[in-house]
Amino acid sequence: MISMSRLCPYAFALSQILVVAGAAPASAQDKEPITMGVLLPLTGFGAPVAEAGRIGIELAVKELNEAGGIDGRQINIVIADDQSDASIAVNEVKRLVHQAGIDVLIGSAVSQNNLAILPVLNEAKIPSISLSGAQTLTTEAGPYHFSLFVNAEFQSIAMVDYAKNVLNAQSAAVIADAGAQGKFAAEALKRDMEAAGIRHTGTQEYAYRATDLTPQLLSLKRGDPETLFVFPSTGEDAGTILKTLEDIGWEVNVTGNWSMSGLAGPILQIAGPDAFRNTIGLNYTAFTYCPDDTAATPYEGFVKRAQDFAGDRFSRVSQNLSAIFYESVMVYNAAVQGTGGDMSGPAIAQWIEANISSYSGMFDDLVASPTNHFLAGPRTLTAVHPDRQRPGGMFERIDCQ
Amino acid sequence: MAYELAIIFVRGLGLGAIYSLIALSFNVVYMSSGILNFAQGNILVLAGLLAALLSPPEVSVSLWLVLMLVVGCMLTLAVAAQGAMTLAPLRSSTEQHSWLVSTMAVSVIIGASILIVQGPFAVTAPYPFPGVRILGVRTPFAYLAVTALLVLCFVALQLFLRRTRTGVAISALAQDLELARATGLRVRLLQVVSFGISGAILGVTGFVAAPVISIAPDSGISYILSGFIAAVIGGMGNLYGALVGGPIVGVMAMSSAYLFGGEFQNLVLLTLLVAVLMVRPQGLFGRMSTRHV
Amino acid sequence: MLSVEALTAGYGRIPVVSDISMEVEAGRITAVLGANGAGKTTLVKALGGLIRPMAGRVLIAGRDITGADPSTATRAGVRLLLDGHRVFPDLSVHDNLKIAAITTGSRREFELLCDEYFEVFPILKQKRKDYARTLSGGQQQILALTQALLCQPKVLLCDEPSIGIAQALIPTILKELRNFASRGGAVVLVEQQIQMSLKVSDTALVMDRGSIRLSGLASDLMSDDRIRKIYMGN
Repeated sequence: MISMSRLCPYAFALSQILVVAGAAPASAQDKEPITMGVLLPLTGFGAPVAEAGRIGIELAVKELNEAGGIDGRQINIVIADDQSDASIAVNEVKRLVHQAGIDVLIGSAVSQNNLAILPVLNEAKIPSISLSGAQTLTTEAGPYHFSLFVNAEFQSIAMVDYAKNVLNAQSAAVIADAGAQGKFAAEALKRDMEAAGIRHTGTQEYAYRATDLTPQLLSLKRGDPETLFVFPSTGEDAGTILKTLEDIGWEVNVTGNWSMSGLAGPILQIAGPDAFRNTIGLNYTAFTYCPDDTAATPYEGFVKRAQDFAGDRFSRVSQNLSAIFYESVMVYNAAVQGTGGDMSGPAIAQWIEANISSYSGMFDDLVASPTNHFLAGPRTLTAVHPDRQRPGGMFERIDCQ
Repeated sequence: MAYELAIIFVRGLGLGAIYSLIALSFNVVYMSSGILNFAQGNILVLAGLLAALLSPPEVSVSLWLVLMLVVGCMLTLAVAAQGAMTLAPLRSSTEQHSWLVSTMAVSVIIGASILIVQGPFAVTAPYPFPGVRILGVRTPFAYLAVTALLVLCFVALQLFLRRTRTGVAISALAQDLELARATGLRVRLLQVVSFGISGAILGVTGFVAAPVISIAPDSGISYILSGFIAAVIGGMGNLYGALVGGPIVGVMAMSSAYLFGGEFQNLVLLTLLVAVLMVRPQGLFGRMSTRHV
Repeated sequence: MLSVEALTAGYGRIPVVSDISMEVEAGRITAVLGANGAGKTTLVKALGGLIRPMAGRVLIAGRDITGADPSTATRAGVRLLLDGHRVFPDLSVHDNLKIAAITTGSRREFELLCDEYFEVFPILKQKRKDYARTLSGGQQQILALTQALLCQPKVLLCDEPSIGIAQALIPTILKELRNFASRGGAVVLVEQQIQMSLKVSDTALVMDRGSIRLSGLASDLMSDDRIRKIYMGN
């Protein structure tokens, strides 16, 4: 289906919402099923993420349905393709809301699409959980919208925390891309390091996919900082930064963000295996291990089940992303159980704001408040060695003994 | 600081050589037809992608050279075909401007095709030459190779345009298109040939510079912009201008990032462009002339 | 040599000349006279292939070249000499000649042909290596004429060859046109100046507002008062 739609995306656009899963036997269920909308960029630049998302969501729904559904109600999934395009996303969401009559939306994975679809969801008071880290997705913009993806604000706190408490750094410089997310991160890092008493020696930005960052890094080197905060959005950019550091012979401790570990594949391809020598990245604590660990983590359990569920398809996608989508469905499940079956946006939002800190699943230490709907807080994240990985996308933590 | 600026200068020259080659390629087509081929950025990226796809991980020098010729020939034919299609509906390429849309369309098609084949991620191409130390800094060999390529292309183009009958005829098109028609020159054929030459330049450049260009579906536009600025600064249609314009753009972009910050790179380049257009609209090397069309 | 049958031509959809029929004989100079805007230039551009005719036919020695583009028309033997002593300014005189000799095969053949014209116009030999833009207007016209002759046409269409050049050079150019005709070529000479043109040509036709109003032997027309009336717009 995906490959066909890639060949003729526009024909596909006219077509449809696909009813995919959830055809579970309409057995003895007396309660009405829940309709779960899933909005993913099945085509366009977000396509690799969409495939990961589908596997995670479908597995979660299958497990919940087999266990009797959410609050005794089976879940039907309705998948829509936003083609990585905001205007198409809006049309598809209107269709999901008004024609398919969804109770909840999982998606989208594209930040600008989320911003575009929120008015439709707000009006219908439908809760949504997306995979977006954009700071513009405030609680005013989306009172019933939540995200399990790392945002710049919490990454900044975690990065400065590491520089201060592990590296004991007295001074630091910042390099980030010129996108909205990068600019926000640069500001947040400056603010947080000031609060932590770390001297700011310089900030530089670069355009996405710039091929030569020599001038930026040479200029930051002049300030002689003890650590360099690196906040890239793509693996290619992260790789170029690390490679250039090697080229100019600057051996500085690099404190990276989630991209630095989450996108380690393309980074390695560009910068080579030595590049991570002085580098740490952030990742969800759930996706980490220590060499001495023996007990299997919940994430390892997920990877095994997803492998059985999707086979080869699963080994080709980002398994971390797949797990985050899986967990999004589980958080929704917890919320509906918590409200006693009230699935309206306000009820779900209120429950999550009040109770998410006691949630325990694959992720722990989730945070939420009336002013923050990014659930992955600073304590959900931890510093990792991006180059020390176990199968399934598990990273070795820095704080192992 | 002088030391750092020297490093930046070296890299700026290397990067500028790529812009110069794009500008040369712009000029060849512009001279013969008045057309600006906006698909050039993505054609360059396409050549880089071919380098990445065709080269085995440990590519030998001889295989690399063969592949360079293969990619060069492929893009010569492809761009000549693009030229033929662009020119087909036009009675006059200087009075009608459908090429604005058709060259853009080709650019979009290439970008979308790269996206389908390769996905949204950048790829890297294997290279048979290791980096070299210049001023104590490891410099990608591709910067040196592409600078040598620029000199080679420039000299070859000059000889071609001055010494060969076809080349002289293409120069003639640039000077007076109506007279060229009245003279009986096969104008369309010459224009298609010049598209082919531009394809050869872009193909070999994209291949040789593959490790230092961004090979991704959406990076063509930045090369078009930088190459175009280089061409305009040097003087549209002037080969010397293209030769000098590229390094000016490359060095200015890099040193402004170093001195003022990366966010000022584009600002400095566009300011330079506006300044040149205001003070010397014909470019540094261009001559004011009344062009008969 | 050149037959034109009911030719209509213009720019876009607007005809400038309509229903023109004429015969151009070998060995003769045919003058096309008319005031500014009469359609003379449009006519010769249509004959030379620079403008595609809307209707009618153009035949060269019996071969239909209606609507052929100039590269075909020139090879069939119709060559247009544009007005305004136009040459390629940034090419040397030699290169100007080289690319104009489209029908000459070998380098040797080209050199021989050039030498012929260098005898007639020694200035070209002298300035062989100079850029054409350094030549005077008259010298450029001589170069342009030589370019046209180098492709060895059967019919030479000359659009106002006397405009913009020094008076002293005009006889040289007209003499060369006569030479070309006496070697069996046909010349169509577009001019505004009546007396000068009639003196040099064999036959003439007078155009006004896109049509032929008058034609005949040049010697007869010389004393015909109607020409002046047509020029005055009457």
